[in-house]
Formats: sequence, C-alpha cells, structure tokens
Amino acid sequence: MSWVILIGVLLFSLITGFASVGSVACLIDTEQNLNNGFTTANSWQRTTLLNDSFEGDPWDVNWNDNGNTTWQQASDKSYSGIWSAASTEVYFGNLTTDNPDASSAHWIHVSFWFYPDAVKNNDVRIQIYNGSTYDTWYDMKNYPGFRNGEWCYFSELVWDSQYFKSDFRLRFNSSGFDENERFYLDDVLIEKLVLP
Amino acid sequence: MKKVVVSMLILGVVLAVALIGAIALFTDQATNPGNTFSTGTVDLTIDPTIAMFTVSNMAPGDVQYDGIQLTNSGTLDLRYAMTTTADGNSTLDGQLTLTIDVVDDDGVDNTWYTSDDVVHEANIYDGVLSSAAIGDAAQGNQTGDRILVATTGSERFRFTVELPIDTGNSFQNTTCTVAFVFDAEQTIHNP
Repeated sequence: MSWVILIGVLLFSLITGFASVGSVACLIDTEQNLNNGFTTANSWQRTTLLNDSFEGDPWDVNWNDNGNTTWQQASDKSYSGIWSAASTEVYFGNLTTDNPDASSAHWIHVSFWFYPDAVKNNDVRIQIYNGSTYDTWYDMKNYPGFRNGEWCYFSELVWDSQYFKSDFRLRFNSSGFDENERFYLDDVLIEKLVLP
Repeated sequence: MKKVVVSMLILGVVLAVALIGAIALFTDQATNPGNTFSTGTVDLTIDPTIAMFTVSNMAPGDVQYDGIQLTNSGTLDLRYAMTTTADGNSTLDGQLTLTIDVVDDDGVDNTWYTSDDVVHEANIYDGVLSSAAIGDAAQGNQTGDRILVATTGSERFRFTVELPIDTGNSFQNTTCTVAFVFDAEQTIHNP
C-alpha cells in the first residue's frame, strides 16, 4: 500500500513540475485608459466645388474666368485620362479657379495630383484669395510629398474661415522656369463641408 | 565481600559522572542577523488615467490631438505593450485613424500633445483606431515592445485621431468608445 502512495506522489510531482516549466512566473502590471469616446455629427453636407481633369473642351473652362489661361493643356503626362494642365518655361503665370461658393463652409478640402520635373524653390506656388490679395499656401517645392520626376498627391484642408467666401479662389502661380523645367497638374478636386 | 565490590562500583560511577559535569570549556557564538529578502515591483503608471478623448460632433477631416505619459514607478525595469479594446457598437472605430508618435518637447506653444510637439520617434503606430497596438502583450520580448528603466523611465505619446476626409454619410451620428490597455512585465529573467 505504501508503495502505491509513493508512486502517486512521484507522478504528481513530475506533472506539476512540467506544468510550472511551461508558465514561467513573471511580475506584471496593467493600466487602462478607458472610455475614449468619439461621436460624429448627426448630419453634414459635402459639396463638390470643382472636379476637373482638364479633359473638357475648352480644357480650361473652369479656370481664369472661363478660360484664357497662360498655362497649356498637355498630353505627354497625365495622371488620369489623356490631358493635364502644364506650366513650362514658355507657359507660365496664373491658373486660377473661377469663383466657387465656399461660404458657410466648415472646411474646404483641396486635392490634386502634380508631376514636377526639375522644379525649383519658389517656381510654383499654390495660393488662396483672401478678398483682396492672394496668400501663398505652399511653395510646391516645399510640400511634404514633393518629389521631382514622380506623380505626387496633394490633399489638404483649409480651416481658416477668412477664406470661406462666396468667391473662393485657388491659384497656381508659376514663374522662373528653366528650359527643361515642367509642372503638370491633374485631377483637381475642391470640396466644402457644411455642418448643420 | 560481594557487597563491598558492588559499593565500590557504584561509587566509581557516581564519581565519574560528577567529574564529567565539572569539566570547564571556553565557547563562543557569532550571529549574522537581519538577513532580509524583498521582491521588486513592476508598476507602470499612466497620466491621464481618465479618458484622453471625448470628442463629439466629428466631421470628415477633423483631427484631434491628445496624449499620455507612461512612467515606470516600480523598482524593476519593465517592458510594455499596448492594445486597444472597442465597444463594438459601431464601425466608426474602424474608420477613425490613429497615429502615435513619441514626443519629447511641447513645442513653441508650450502645450503638450499638439501639432507642434517635437517628435522623437514618429509613427510607432499608424492605422485604424480599432486595431491600434504597440508591441505584443504576450510574455517575453517581442518586436515593438517598449522598455522603461526602473523608477525614472518615462515617455510621452501623442495620439492623433482623424476622421478621414473621404468618410461617407453612413457614418453620420455614430459613436464608438475604446480603451487603451497597457500591459507591463519585468524584463529581468524574462527574455
């Protein structure tokens, strides 16, 4: 009888020993940051102010008061479709939106694709009309996603309410291009969001 | 005669016992007292302990900043990981994005967890809110786990939550609630 008890004790020791090897004891602690809540507005309205891939005829109908820009329509590079708008050593100056109504906006979203080729500092600027003059938003060479020789994506929000006017204008201003310098622009989207 | 012999034997035994009891010896004893053993502590503290975010009326494009400081208040070096638990009441937590940066200065505005904080380590997490994680909470050292030295180790995380600008109307008037859970463990003897 005693041998049976002894064998049982030995088996129990072996089993619990292996189990403890599988779960090495370790001091631990847990902290929680609870109840982080996020709620969206109960309604909002998105309005497209401009959506232009420069495929229309005339191609710049949405710009510079219905055309007559100093940029050119280009087909040697496009992000979508066949055409883009381009600025070169010869074709430069302002490419300005017509006056979409951005009044009462909560924000304005501006996005477009651009292809800079040998573009230098201060050669292409994106500017916003403040009612009397144009404020430079970005020197495109300094935009975080800028890379010469590649299609780059611009997507930013305008938060400053001074620009939320009935005659909102966005302007691409170019100058000082060298002979082989190019700037292509495609798929320009301007949206406004209005909350109740 | 027999009695005499027995008496002599008894007397001899008595004398022997008496002599043994009277032998003198020099002795000494030294004691090493007060040997104590104390365990260390793994104690991760967070600030704030209340919710970082209570955001209402969000619209696409909205960006919210806040942050949290983690400090090793224990006596052992620790490593920790973060996981996120969601209430599952909506899919908003899968639409919101979260970026976590390690920041080490509050920037020009002298306010922590704003856009101008000086980033020491960018994007230790960059993805949807619902699956936000840093490292792995499983025991042992895993990729992304972070280490804080005992007593003084501390770091600050800036949380940037954004409702993407392409968020559709189906997300209007929705709510989600999440918890960020930080699990710490000892590093010593715990490779």
